[in-house]
Amino acid sequence: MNEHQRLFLVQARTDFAAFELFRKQTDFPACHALHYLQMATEKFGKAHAWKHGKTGKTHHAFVSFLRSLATNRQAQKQLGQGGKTENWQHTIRKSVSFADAIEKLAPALAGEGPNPEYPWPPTDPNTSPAEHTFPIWQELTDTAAGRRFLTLLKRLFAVAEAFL
Amino acid sequence: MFLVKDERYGVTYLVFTWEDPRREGYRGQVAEGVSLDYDMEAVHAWPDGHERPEACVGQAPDNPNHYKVFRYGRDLREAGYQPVRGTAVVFGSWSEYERLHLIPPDPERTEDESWYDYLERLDDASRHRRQRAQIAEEPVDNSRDKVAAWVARKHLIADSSVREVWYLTQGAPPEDIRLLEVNDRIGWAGEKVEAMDFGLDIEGAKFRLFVADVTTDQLEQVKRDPALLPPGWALKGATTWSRRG
Repeated sequence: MNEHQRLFLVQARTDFAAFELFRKQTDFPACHALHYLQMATEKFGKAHAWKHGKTGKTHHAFVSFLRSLATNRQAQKQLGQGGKTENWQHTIRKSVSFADAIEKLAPALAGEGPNPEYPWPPTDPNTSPAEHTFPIWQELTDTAAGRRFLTLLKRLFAVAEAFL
Repeated sequence: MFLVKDERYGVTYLVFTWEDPRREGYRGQVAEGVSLDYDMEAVHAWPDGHERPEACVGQAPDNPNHYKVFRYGRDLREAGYQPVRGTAVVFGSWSEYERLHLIPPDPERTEDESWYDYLERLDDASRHRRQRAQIAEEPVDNSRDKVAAWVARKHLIADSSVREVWYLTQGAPPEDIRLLEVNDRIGWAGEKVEAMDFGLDIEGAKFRLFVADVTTDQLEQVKRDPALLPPGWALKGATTWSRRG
């Protein structure tokens, strides 16, 4: 892991810690947890992308990173899935669809649609994130696949050095 | 006739219908004005000592809208037809064909990739179904038991893979709601049961919601060895809800 990667990872981890705090809090609307989750995954993806030098402005790096895990036997083993390749690939496939939805929450990608930071649509706002019910949040909290994705992220952040 | 090429569970079906599938809401590509020569009895007859029929579909050399099912690939080549990948099936309408696919594939005879495709289609169907499912916006009252019942119902509707929810109260602090959700489609299951916690605010009543996902096998192990549960959790005195209520 080079210094650029380390810097992004440190920041990603604090974002993820903030996400964990907001996830457990009842005093804040879900947009804050989602905001930190989006930032944590974006920076984790960038930490991975910096392995080969300077990266452009991208919000898609985390999805690319997750896709690369599908065939990474070392990661499979480290994340407790050794010897269960089909399960692992299914888990990654499911996770990619969650990661993709989270990446699209970034205001730069959300366009006219919902994002967890600013009221939208940008030109004539009529909804605030704090008052919005985000379907992705319900998927993450109400479904086993969503909770598994969050568990996978927690494990990934814990052993990130092994993949960077 | 009309023809739709439908990919399902790793198999290509050439679906020939008498009625236009688009009239029943099908939005994919439809070839119209096609004809099919398919003598089912002749194609599938398999007398003793003969090779197993292959039922190969071919496209006529002089008319791309005409298809014929041949008993063997060699018959198709001899007739100068172009082979077409897929299995020909004939239905009156698209909905008759769709109904057939409501029957799940045999898990013992289905490749992993196709099985997961099937599960994803099921998830999609469940997602559509839950959009019209009725669930109360808020629980009946904000007592812990009523909130737990409401959350369990919400999860059973939101996730078709959850088949049972156990609400564990023994030893739980009054602000904690502990749910054990039984689900045999979990990607992985560790030795110990892990719970994930979320904050829950129901009209000013605040709870900590802990949800642990377990497979049926894990649940059986937990019944034999409660130490596999998160610290302080116990199955004794649990209330359970299943998909049917």
